[in-house]
Amino acid sequence: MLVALLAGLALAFAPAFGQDTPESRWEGRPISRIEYDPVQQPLPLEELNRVLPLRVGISLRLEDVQDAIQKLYATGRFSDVSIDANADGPGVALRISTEFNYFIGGVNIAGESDPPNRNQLISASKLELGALFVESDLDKAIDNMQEKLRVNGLYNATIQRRVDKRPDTEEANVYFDLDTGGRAHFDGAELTGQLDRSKESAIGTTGWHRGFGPIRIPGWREVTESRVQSGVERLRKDLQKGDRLEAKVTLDKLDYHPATNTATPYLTIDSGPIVEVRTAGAKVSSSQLRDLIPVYQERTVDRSLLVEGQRNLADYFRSKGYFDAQVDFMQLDPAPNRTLIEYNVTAGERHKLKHIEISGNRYFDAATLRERMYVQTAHWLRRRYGLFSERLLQQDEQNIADLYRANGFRDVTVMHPQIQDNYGGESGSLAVAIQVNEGPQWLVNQLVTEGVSSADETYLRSIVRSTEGQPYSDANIAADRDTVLGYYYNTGYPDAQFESSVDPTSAPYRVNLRYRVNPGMRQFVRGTLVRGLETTRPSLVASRISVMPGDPLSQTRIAQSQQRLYDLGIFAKVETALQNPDGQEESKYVLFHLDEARKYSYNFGVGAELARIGGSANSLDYPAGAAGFSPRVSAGVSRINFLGLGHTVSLQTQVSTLRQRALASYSAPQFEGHENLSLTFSALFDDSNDVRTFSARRWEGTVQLAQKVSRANTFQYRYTFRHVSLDPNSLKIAPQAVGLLNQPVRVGLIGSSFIQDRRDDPVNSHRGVLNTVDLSYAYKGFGSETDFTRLLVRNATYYPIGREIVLARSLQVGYIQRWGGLSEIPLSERFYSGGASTNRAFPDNQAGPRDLVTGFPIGGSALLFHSTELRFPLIGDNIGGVLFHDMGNVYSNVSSISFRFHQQNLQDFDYMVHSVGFGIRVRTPVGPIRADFSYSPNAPRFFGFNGTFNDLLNIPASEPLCSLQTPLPRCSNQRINSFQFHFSLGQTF
Amino acid sequence: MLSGATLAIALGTLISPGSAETLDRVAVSVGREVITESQVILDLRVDAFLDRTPVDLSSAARRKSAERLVDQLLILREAVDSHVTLPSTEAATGLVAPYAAESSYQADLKRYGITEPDLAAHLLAGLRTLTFTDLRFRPDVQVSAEDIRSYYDKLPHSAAAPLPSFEDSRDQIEKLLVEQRVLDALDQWLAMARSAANIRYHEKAFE
Repeated sequence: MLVALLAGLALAFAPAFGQDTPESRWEGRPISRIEYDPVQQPLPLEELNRVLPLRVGISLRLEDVQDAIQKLYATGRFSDVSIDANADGPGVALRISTEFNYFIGGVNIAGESDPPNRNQLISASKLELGALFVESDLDKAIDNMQEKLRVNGLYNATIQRRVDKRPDTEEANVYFDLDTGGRAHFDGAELTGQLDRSKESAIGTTGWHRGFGPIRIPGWREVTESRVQSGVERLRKDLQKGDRLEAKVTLDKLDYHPATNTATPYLTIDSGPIVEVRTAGAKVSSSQLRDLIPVYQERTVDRSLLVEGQRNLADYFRSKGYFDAQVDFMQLDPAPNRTLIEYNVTAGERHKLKHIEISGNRYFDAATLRERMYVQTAHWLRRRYGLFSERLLQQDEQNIADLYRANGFRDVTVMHPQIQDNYGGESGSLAVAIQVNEGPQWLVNQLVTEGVSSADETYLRSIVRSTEGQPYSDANIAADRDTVLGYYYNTGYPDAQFESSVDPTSAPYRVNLRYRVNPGMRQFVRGTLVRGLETTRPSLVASRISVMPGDPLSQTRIAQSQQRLYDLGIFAKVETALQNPDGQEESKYVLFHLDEARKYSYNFGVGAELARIGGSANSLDYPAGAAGFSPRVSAGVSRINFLGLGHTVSLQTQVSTLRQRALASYSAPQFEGHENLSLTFSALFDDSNDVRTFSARRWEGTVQLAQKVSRANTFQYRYTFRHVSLDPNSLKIAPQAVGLLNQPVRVGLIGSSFIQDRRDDPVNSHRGVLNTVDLSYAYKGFGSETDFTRLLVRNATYYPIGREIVLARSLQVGYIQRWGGLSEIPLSERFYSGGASTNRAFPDNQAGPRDLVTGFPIGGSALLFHSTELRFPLIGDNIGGVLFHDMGNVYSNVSSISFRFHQQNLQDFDYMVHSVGFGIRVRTPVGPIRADFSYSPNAPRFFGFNGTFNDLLNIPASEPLCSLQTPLPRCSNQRINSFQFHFSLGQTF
Repeated sequence: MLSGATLAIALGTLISPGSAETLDRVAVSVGREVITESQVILDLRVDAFLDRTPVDLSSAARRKSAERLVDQLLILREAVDSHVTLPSTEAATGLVAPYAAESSYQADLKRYGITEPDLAAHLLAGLRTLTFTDLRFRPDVQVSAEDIRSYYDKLPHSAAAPLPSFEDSRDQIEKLLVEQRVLDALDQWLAMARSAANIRYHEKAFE
């Protein structure tokens, strides 16, 4: 027995042959206990128990141990895992030891000197938010940042790093503290290679020397990456003038001199050959040629670019009506270092595309198909010859066929059997006939979904296109794939997969569709980690994040939260990421790393106003305004994120010869966490004489709450208190009225506005409607000296006519009702209108009642304006035209509103003034620039006073001033010029 | 009584209640996948079985085995990604058969501490690696007549040991050169795949 036992032990202690294995000692023993080291693990215990194959009570299998290690490691949460066994009576106690991974929770930069800015440095570090933190990557990150600093002239910069690790969330927040030192300056440049000018001239082109344009001042500019690149680019462009298209400038190195903290760029210059491009057979302007021949843009000559130029030239001539234009080219080297590219153009006869005939179409009408076509018939204004080429026609046929195929017409054919010349007996006129052969429409007979829960299936069937009876097409299936995957991605299945297959059916032109979905593992939000805040209150950020712990992981929700944070306007960058993105775990942290924007921003502007604003402030000349010029300076400062609440405090000032103005405001957007509310306090000082009758000094305070009730509808509620005083020396009205109208007035009013905006584009509307209603009430209980209500209603509608023409109309009605207090509505509270945005018969603020002696406008208590505009394209895509008709006026009171055309006499202003005219709109990135020319057949006539204000005061009270019956030499007949010119930015309405 | 006490002492030496034994740990990680220490040891046991040599569990042997397993993992991962059809598990039966025919087969398996499925899996992994290498790299290998001639001309020979004629040697040389170039291509690809993969050796498994 002993011998046998010893023999057995000998085998057991025979490692040379490997029989002594853990299996032999532990396999099959019941697991009595499982403990973790450390006890606190990054994954919840429930998740660990679900994932691991090891359970208390089951027999130990080393295969399960190996599997457990694999599964734990695959979560990405651990950098090392080992499992130990310890005898525990007849069983085995397991200890799972782990070492944690850390993930980048944010990269924070301090001490930077722009350029490079913070984001450029973070980008250079290549440390990605949420990615695995590897200590050795920090060295690479610092190297990369140092390189970025060096190319920006910061050769002496030092970077200190610090990592703040949080074991509870496995975050590693990385901090880089920079001491950038002084930025190096250029100290000249070394040039090698062919140069057709002096070295000084070439260096001057780079802009590295200090100076203003051609004027140089001593010293060199600081080195920055963009300055180096722009200098090289400027020199290259300069060398390329004179047809040296292939001129190259290469930056070999920037040689740094530590002793002087300067750097010398070393440039190699290759002037290249002179490349001449010309056309034969037809004239093309050199600027047009530069646009059409890509060798000018690419700065190199190769066959593919020359062929592209050939195609562009042919298309250019075809777009001009030479539909048969043929272009070929040849490349010659007539002399050393000289290349000649000659395009030979055979333009052929000029045509005009007069007619497009589409036949055979039943499912889509011709208008629908025409909308998708590039080929266009001639139009007298825009395309005199139409737009046609064989290539465009083929493209159109393809587009039409694609449209049919997307709607189940799998066998559709589209062709043009003939192009008819001399259409309608007119020489050079073309007609194109497009023949559509639709074929049968294929429909979905049955849609079967697999791998989808019954609850999801109901919803998915309501959003996919290829349901029973719907057209069967590849485009619909592709769209369904995106829809289905989008749904799963946003409900916590980031690895969802989609497959589709088609089964034939016995019914003709019917198919059975099968959608198979493999959702994969569902992932949830473990929590949100917000980092990078300095002054912003965390509660403000939390209120904008809609991603909650326990929710299914949704990229849409994360993106929405990111957008809401951007909408606060206080963050320069909002970075979002999943922590441990590739880890196979059930729940993940969502990271938000925020970079707060600069607190202060400044603006400064210089401008001028040129309009009928002229005339002396102390004379009574030009009551209707003389052409005048008013320079203007504006400056402002804003402090965002005030008190970390996301609120903004700003001060904007404007000084011109017509107006001095200061506006201080405090705005709280998304007030109290409500996205649809915003609260604004503002204080205004305004000293202006934009109404030519008087100068007014206004102090005003307003508090306003805006409520966006839907995408289109907004309400505003406000209280305004203002004190307005008129400069008595500026009043240009009859002395009898002065005492009544010029007293200072205090107005306190509550008001509300409703804005409904359903326009497609507020800047340049093509369709939709804009309604505004503004009602305010001034009452002594609100601190007002006078009681009145003011109502202003506006309605504007826009109707597209065809693809490019818009009919727009606008109606404005206003009414002021006095209830008590002062005996008249004060001058400053009346309606003043007329001008570029209401009735173009008038200069600005010149509509309505006028002083019966001086002829200056005195405002009214009611207004009615209607404008109609026909907006159409004029030249190319960027210049449009407008024909307009405006009518309306400011009336002395609501009962005086009249549609009467004729002015009864020189003291009658309650009639409707009409104007017609023509305008030009030039499209720009900031909206259309507008110039309008108007003619009014019934512009107002009125009495003006021949003399100064003192002359007016010296008239004895017993004498009549101006009389309709008795002409007086001091009263002259004047009128508003029938022709007016308006120049401004934006559409009229 | 004596035998019982001896047994208790012997087992006590093996499983002492106070000291824990590491059952398994991460030896190498390749991205999110791991090769555990037990896989390395098993690989060495199977190799030793196939070579009929004692099992070498030294640090150097473990490291070498781990590197081989990493290569195998990279190759099999690439095979899956590129949808290459590899031999199925049924092929393993044929691979094991020659060993199973030996009379001491079961005793040897036991002696080396491995099982038949371990052996089959090892052989199958080797076969799959070879198949992938053949399918992926062999079609691209070209050997020209000049290459064969050049190789032949450089072969050492003497009057005492003359070379067979070029014509007689051509096929053999061509086969040899193809094999050599396939292996070179595999080595190049592995070097590239290794640099792209995040491979980390956990030193405790190699102590």
